Amino acid sequence: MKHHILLVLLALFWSTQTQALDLQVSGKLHITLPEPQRLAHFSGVLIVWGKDRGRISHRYLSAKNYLSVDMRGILPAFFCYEFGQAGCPPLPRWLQVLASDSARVAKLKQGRSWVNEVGSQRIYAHYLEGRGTGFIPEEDGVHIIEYKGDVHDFKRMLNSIREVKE
Amino acid sequence: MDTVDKANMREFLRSFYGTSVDHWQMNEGVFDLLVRMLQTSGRCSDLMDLVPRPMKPGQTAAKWLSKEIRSQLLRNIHKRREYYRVCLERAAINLRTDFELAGRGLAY
Repeated sequence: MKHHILLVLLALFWSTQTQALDLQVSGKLHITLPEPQRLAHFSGVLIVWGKDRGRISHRYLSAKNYLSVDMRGILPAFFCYEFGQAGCPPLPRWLQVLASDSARVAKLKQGRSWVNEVGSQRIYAHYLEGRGTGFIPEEDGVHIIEYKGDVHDFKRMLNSIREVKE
Repeated sequence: MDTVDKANMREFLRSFYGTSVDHWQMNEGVFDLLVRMLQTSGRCSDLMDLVPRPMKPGQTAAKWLSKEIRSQLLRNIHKRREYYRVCLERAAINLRTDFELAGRGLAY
């Protein structure tokens, strides 16, 4: 009888726990999302709402027409300039100007910015007024993660991004 | 918004977001986001000159602007959409999810 009660209590405990979601966004990249409550998928945009009504979305944008420029092969360098990093790979001067202009429009000098290394990739992130955006540029396109919610949760989500070799 | 305003807005947003715009309602939420796109870009100042400021705190653009100004704004955007597309493109990237939700009548 005691065992039965224990099993029922355990079952109740597990049923009230929401599992973290492991979201795979590319062949290698995974993000851990704690306690997802609702998911939606609209026109290539995946949206996940959290327990506190914050939300995260993911989409992939091709480099072929990024800011009306064919940036295939140069997108990682472009983001390096946009986020004002040192030692960026060479880019034509006009693209460097476009990158700094893009940084101004995105208000990167306001709010908080981070650049994280994940395996062979870099995550460029910015948070301002309750919203965060993370960019993971690749040769052919960029993963864009939009976040609405608390800055600490945004940072935790960024830190959960990892490269998995399968 | 009348049907001409909605058509102008849809055509303009299609230049950023492609055919996904075809699934969106052209409602006040989408218009508010379009004005926010103009405000956050800090560019296209000729368009922003049409918007009387300061907007009351918590007030939405759709309610704050008169019908005439809304229509004029959307007409101007539509007329020179290639020019405005270039100057608003970066701001549009950060607002995609909000547009997807607003265009489906959901809270954003």
